[in-house]
Amino acid sequence: MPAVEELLPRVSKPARYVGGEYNSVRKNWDEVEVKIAFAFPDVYEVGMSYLGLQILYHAVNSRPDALLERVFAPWPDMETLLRSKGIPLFTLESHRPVKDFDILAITLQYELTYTNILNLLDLAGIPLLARERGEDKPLVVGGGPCAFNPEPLAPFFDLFVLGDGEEAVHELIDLWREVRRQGGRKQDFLRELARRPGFYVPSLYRQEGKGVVPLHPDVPARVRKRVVADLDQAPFPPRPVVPWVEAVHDRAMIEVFRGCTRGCRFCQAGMIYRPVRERTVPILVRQGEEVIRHTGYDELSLTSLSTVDYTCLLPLLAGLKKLRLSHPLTVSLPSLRVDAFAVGVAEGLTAGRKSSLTFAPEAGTQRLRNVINKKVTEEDLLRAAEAAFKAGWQRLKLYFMIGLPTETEEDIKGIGELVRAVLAVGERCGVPHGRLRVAVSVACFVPKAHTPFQWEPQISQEELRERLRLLQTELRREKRVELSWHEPRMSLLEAVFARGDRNLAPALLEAWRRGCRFDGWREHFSFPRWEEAFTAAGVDPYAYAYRRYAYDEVLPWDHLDAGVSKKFLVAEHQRAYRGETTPDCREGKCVGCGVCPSLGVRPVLAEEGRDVSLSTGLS
Amino acid sequence: MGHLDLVRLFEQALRRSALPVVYSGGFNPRPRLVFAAPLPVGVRGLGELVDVYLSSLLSPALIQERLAAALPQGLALVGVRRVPLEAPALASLVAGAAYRAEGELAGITPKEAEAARQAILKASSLPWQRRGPEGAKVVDLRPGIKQLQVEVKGERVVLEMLVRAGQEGNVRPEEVVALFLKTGGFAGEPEDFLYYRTALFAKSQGERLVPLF
Ligand code: SF4
Repeated sequence: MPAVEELLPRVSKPARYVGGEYNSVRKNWDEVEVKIAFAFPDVYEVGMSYLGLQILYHAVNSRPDALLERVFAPWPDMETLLRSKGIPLFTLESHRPVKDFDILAITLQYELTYTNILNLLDLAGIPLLARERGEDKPLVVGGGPCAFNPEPLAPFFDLFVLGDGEEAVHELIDLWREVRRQGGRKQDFLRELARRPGFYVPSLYRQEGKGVVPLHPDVPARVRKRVVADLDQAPFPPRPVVPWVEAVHDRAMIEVFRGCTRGCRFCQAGMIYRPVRERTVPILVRQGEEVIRHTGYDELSLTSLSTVDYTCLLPLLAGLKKLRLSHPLTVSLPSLRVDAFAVGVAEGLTAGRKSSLTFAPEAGTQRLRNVINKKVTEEDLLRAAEAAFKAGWQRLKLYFMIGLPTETEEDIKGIGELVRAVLAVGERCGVPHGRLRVAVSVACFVPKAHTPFQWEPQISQEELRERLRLLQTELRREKRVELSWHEPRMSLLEAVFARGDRNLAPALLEAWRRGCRFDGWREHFSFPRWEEAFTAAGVDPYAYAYRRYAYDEVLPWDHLDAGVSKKFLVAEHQRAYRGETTPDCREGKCVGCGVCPSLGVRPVLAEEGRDVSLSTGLS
Repeated sequence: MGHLDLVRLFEQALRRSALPVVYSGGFNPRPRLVFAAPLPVGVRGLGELVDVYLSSLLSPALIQERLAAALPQGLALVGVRRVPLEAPALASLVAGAAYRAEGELAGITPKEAEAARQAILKASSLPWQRRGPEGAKVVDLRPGIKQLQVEVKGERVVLEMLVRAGQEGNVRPEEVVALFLKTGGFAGEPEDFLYYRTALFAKSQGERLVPLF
């Protein structure tokens, strides 16, 4: 399409739109039956860092009968150009209009990308509302973490996929082919799919009060998530697409395990991706070697929610070290556990390059850490800091959350004290005064669906700002502290949509109409515009974010089953208020979250003899 | 694509090729390579040059085969030549560059185009406002423009130019196009043109420019 060529010199980063990268796949359009466009509703550099995209790209393009091409949210300069020239949004591989595809799959990673989703649909020339899309328009499918509470998006999507996508996508393609071959319509396809686990068809349900109920007897009342039982058998992309320009995470990745059972009570990923499923060392070493050879990256990241917890970490690192590659390779971990062992591992990996190390104690006092089930003590942190400083790091980064349930002034002051204690350790370890740095990064607590804190209100903006001020005062005199925080109003919006229902959809539409885009980017985020949108739609956002939801009320995501039982979440919530912690079921004892019995799966640990299944009551 | 992006792509390709590339020392070893001249953003390179250091002597044909296979689409390997280690670095030799600019100008005639070309080449000096990081300053473009040809077919205009590049007196292709538009009184913007760098040149015997490859 020559039109695209002409657009490129006029936008800020043309490489975002050209396609044709190394390892990208361009198939013959006419020889393929099922065509999928995969949209990541943020810019190219962000989307290309996302392993899930590469996994699905590989899974679909490995099939001779299907193709999957990529599309990202165009930056405002490109949007303006597309609109002024009347060019419909196109995919990177073939530069074909997105509306020519059978299926448009959109990944839902973050609530603040929702306006970008509407914008993508509009730029593609696809009617925003599912019910206004005819047979000739693509089927719009959502997946990813936000699919576990997709209600604010319900009118815009034909289908949501819950849980692991790599098997579900094949089922979806197979059925689509079958229905289309028999001359069936979208509705036939959706009706059939809705009966299968993992597929939620919002148009076959309606909102009743806050809850969501099926419209027909053959449509299940609850949709259960998909789980890939054995990750060793799951497809892994040996030849991921290498972006033209540096991505946010510009390195090769292998997924060491999926799921995390540490059980932090605010963490949605820790609940919805259960149980833990580890890959075994020989498989990981092979995947690491392939992906490095085929991409030319010099860094391999071992990804998961908490890689230091991998039971065979040291054998894995040894195995990777033995690889005979023609070029030097660095191995990295995305996040560190707060302990000295983790620092030791990190030290072994960096070979001298010591920029900064990151730890996430999350809260400033032991009391509050117990509330959130973050089983890290001050001693752990100080010992980790000591190990890091002694090993030569001079800058540490600490993540905290404010506005957590039960938080008081004491806890905020506790953050200050903890940071000062870390500085003192640094001094004691002889880090030169001018070099010692502690970066403190603060996020605001956002209650998330399917977590023990799903009933909790978010504290008000005034209160959040008050606590941030208190923290600033606490740290004001520490020149060696770099304090940064998440914009509280963004966190408010996140909370609204994270616990929202279908009544929010009109507000979302209004916000997009008023020009909201890239809400997760400070330079584009406009809260006044959002306020106008809520007013125009007659929606009170604070009723979603600031209200304590009741145990016995039906929640907008109760019909979506992530496997973790509500009973467990209630118990966890109550234990939080009693300040009781809950152990990690990796330790060998099931704590009864309900995932394994309800989905017929079990934790899979790579290390022999650490099979938890015996105690889950599953044989 | 920016110059650093291109370097990154080339480094990745070299690693994929598994050729015996020499790696820099330090914490973050990278393939030792040096481009002759950074390619300005928005300009497509048709004859870019890069020095790559290998630790063993391989035939250019073998290198060509392995590296070409590791390059992404759009990055074609035109040729490989063996250069002795003691030869001067490419980057120090670059003194000129040939560019092609293609665009469309409504109503232009070959005669008008030729007149504008002549006017530029005949001028004794061509003062030009150049905006840089330290504000605007006036430079004389004339000494830096070595050759200029213009071809007009219908509304399609192709400018071929040889200009000074490298450390001093360098001239950018958009500047020549802007000059051409202004001189001829043609309605158009330099941004509407597509730019290609077709070859790099070195100095030989004084001011004469000869192709580097
Ligand atoms: S059911 Fe038990 S073993 Fe399975 S993930 Fe939950 S706590 Fe762990």
